[in-house]
Amino acid sequence: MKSRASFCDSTLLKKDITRFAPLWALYTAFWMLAAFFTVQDLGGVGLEYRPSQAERLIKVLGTLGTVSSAIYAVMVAAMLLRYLHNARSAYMMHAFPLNRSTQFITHVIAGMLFFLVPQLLFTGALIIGLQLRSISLAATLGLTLLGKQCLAWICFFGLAVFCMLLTGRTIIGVLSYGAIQFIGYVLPRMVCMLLSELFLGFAYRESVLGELSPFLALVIQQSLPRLLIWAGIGVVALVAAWLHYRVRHLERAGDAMVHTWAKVAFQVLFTVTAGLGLSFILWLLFSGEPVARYPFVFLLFGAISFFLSWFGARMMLQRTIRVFDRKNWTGWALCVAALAVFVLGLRYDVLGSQRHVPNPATITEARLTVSNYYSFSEHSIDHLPETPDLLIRDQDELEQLAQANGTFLTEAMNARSTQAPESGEPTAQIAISYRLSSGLTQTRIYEIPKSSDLGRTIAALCRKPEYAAAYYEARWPGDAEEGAFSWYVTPPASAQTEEDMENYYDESTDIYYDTPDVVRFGSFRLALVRQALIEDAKAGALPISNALTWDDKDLGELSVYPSEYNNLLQVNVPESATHTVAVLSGK
Amino acid sequence: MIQVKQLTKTFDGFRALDDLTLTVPKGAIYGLVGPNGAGKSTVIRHITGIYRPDKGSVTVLGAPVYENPAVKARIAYIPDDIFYFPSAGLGEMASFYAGIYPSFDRQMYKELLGAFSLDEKMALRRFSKGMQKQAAFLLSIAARPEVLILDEPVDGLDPVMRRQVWGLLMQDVAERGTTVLVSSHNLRELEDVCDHVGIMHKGKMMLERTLAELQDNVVKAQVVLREGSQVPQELNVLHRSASGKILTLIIRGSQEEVNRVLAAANPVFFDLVPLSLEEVFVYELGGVDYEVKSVIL
Repeated sequence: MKSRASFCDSTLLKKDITRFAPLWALYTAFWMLAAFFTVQDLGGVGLEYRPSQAERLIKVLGTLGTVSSAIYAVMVAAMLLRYLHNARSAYMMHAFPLNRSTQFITHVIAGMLFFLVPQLLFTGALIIGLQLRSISLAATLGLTLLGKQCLAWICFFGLAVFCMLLTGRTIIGVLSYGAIQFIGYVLPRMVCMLLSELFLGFAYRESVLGELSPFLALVIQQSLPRLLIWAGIGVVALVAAWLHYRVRHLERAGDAMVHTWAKVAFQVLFTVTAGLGLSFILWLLFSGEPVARYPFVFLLFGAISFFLSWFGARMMLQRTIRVFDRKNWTGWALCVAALAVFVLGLRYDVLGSQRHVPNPATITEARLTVSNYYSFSEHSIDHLPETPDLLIRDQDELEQLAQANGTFLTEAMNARSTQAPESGEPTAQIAISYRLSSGLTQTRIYEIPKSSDLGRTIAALCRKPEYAAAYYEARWPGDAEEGAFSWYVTPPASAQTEEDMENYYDESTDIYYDTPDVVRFGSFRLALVRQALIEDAKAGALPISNALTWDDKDLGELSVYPSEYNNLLQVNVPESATHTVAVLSGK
Repeated sequence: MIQVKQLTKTFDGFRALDDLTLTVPKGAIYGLVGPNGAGKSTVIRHITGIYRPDKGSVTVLGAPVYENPAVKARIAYIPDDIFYFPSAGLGEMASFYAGIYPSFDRQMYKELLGAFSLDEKMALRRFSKGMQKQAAFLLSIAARPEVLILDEPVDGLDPVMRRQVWGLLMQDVAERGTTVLVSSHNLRELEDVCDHVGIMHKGKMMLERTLAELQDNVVKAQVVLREGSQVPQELNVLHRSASGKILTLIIRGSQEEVNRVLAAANPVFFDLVPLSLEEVFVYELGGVDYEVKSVIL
């Protein structure tokens, strides 16, 4: 007497729709307002409508849609599935003549409708409104937005359903969902922060971290490939949830986590994430020194933080404050031991990876970034330009560089071990990427003293005419619109007072005098500056400008700005750069 | 009609049901009794298809019940702790029941609504516990099930309503041959309605008989023995108490057998008194370390 398979029950679906009408009605109202204001805003443009405005609109509405979907998805999933979190309702619903798959699929369909109906109404209203305003891209705009929103929704709703199924309490389900949205970013970020403190030269791709968090990934950018990947993950989550639902133990209603493995995962992730976070907070409040100098103090803070996070997690899982039994103390001790192994292993470079410099014979090229205006403060490779400042392929130079690198590392590790105070001498940040014959790359970001072997070696390379000329040719912004030189060398003959010099434009030289210390150039003068820089570089009079080559005797700082400020060039101009000095002086 | 065979269920290492076997014949009113924690609700949840057995089988109307909507559509269940959709009124719940139970009888629903005098529009969460139970009965009986599973059905009902509910049940059984399984601690009431009884203890079925067989199998005898006489050894005495010279014996065995043995002992006086279900429960479980303990405060 087995029943005929049916994937959706109309009675249950109707019940879901009517019970939760206030929720999806509110969401619908929100999007109707969004449509109204969008049409009003674009209507002010008039009949002329630029494609770039469409892109901007898709981006703004897309971001709004992503954020609202992320929040709405967990609300919908919580409403539809919270009956599983109460024994009474769970038992009654499963005593009804509805099999589990039918119940699950019916609720998922209801959830999809709660999203789709408002979005279809919004899209329809938007398209009609824009067409009434005679905006030609209306249908494309509307349908593009709808498609993107649907993909984002599948991601968020799938994850929300999965979290509700994985947990036995609605609040824990919501918190788990929130954690999933950000833990892919937060936890690796904190581990990278710790590595930055302990691993000499640590470098990583910060942009990858954003990709691990669905919310951040989809808010930052809603490209089609990214949406498809996350929608795919949402589908996988839904399928996993369905498979779990079919075998779910209903008596787990009220437990924080339904599965043992989920409890373990929650325990570990919560302990590590909250523990590391608290450790850093305590460290900043009570120390602020580099962790590598006082690792045992950091471990003490870590032990305290892990105590709070470990037992906090146990309390949440067991729903009692009586969690201080031997088994849990052992768990905490193991976490602290793991942290100690990690911290001390890095601090004392047990594996030797920090001191490792590749064998020069295996290096095919070394790419160095030495310019002062790149920020390496987060140890992020993303901040490095695509084109390096120095591209070294000469074998002798590679050997020299590798040897100097090794010497620097030995000195740095020794200084760390002896806790030698910082010398206070000038330093520069450099990024070295060794490309190996095996195809692998080793990238390190260091702060090196100017007077170190490595600093002098790189400074010498920066002074080589072929490298300097190539640098200035590559670095000059293609769309340079502005330039300025600080600490102007020679005032114009006609200007006698400061008032004379402010806001003075010399038409013959295409130079503006902002203040006595700063001159600005028009496009004609900028072209001459570029030519002069390259000439001086080829003549060996102008090295690649960075902290390693700066000199107290340098005359001042030349800055060149493109229109969008994303390719800034800054050059400290030495006296020896005669062509450049002449052009800057208006000759 | 309901067949549970060697059912075992474990929760986090705790064996709630241990190789339990239970049979409810068609048209029977089966009373499932046992102390707190015996596993009655757990068995009921297996029979209604809520739990999946770890071992063993549960069949209702000849087919496995778990994940079988066709069978579940012929079962109605009233739990001890009733759930309704939040903010739903009786009318809404009736519409829901009508949608999922193919045999739901609107006419019967209307008749019962009149009989119970319940407000159809008021939210069920505003009803008293007893009224919620009445509503549950109303909906379950209107669903015209072939099997009715009741967990503490009359708990919270006033005496008049209890009588009304039992009367309805009996009528349904008589008219339609509904099979009923009732779990209750109120053994006095069960005695009046059940024809089959199963006594559970610590996840096992201790004994399962018709009521008549059960009452036949344990006998209460009041005896006055002659000076120097002892209670015959061949009697299986479960319990013994004395009030002056009058001995009250609870004996396992048939009435005829006990009568014959006692008569042979030539007492001054003896009389056989029928046991109530409550007494059978107490003395049967007394043999398995669950006897009434005198608590002195």
